Amino acid sequence: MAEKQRKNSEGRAKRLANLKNFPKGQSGNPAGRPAGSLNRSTTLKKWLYGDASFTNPLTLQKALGTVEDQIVLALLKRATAGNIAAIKEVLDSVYGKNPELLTGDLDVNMLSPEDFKKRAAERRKQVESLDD
Amino acid sequence: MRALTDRAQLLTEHLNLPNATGVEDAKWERFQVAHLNDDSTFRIENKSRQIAWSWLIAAEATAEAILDKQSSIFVSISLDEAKEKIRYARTVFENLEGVHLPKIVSDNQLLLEFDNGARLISHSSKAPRGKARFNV
Repeated sequence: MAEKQRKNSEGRAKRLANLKNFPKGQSGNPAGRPAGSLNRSTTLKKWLYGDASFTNPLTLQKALGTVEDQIVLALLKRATAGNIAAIKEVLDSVYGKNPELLTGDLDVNMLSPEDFKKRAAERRKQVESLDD
Repeated sequence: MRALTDRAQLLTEHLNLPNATGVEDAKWERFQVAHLNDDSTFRIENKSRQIAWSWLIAAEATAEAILDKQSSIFVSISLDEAKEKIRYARTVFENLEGVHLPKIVSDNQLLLEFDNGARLISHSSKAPRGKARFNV
C-alpha cells in the first residue's frame, strides 16, 4: 500500500515537472488561427453594411441601399407572401419575442405568489368585516 | 371567525391533499389549520406521535418559502427524520396547484433551495447554527 502511494506520488511529481510554458515566440498550436485574422462577425458586417444595387421585391423598382437593406426587403417579401417563419422573424424583431412563449409554462389561470397574497389579504378583510 | 393567514389559505385551497399526503381521504385537521394560522414569533406545541405534525411543519415552511421567500431550518432527532422533512416539503411543493411556483435550484436529501432565494434546510439532531432571517 505504502509502495503504491509512493509510486503515485512520484508520478504526480513527474506530471507537475512536465507543466512548463512554451518558450516566448513559439506557439503551442502552430496550426491554429493566425494572429490578426478577422472573425466571421467582422467579415459579415463589412459586407452587410456595403452598398448594393438591387430590385426592391416589394415595389419591383430599382433601388440603392446596403446589403442589409436587401436582406430585410427579401425577408419582408417572404412575410407578405404568408411565410410564417418570416412573419415571426419580422414581428419578433419589431416588437420583441413574446415572453409567454419564452417561459412556455404560463397559464392565465395560475396566480403569482404576489397576486395570491393580495387575494388572501382581501379575503381576510372580508372575514374580519363579518365579525364587526 | 378567525381569518386565515396567507400560508393557511395557500395550503388549504391550493394543495392537492390526497396526493401530497398519499392518503386518499385525507382532510385538514382543526389543529393543523390552527397551527398554520398562528403567526406568533414563538410557538410551543404539545404534540403526539403519528399526527402528521412533521408533515405540517414541512408544508408550512414550503408555503412560506413560496409566498414570502422565507427560509426555514428543521432540527430533527435523527438523520432519517431530517430527510423525511425535506421529502415532505418536496411532495407538498409538487402538489400545489393553480399558483406559479419558484423553481427548485438545489435539491438533495437535506436541502431544498428555490430560485427566489428561499432555502429549506434539515439538520439531524444538531443545534442550529445561527443564520440571519431564518425560521427555526
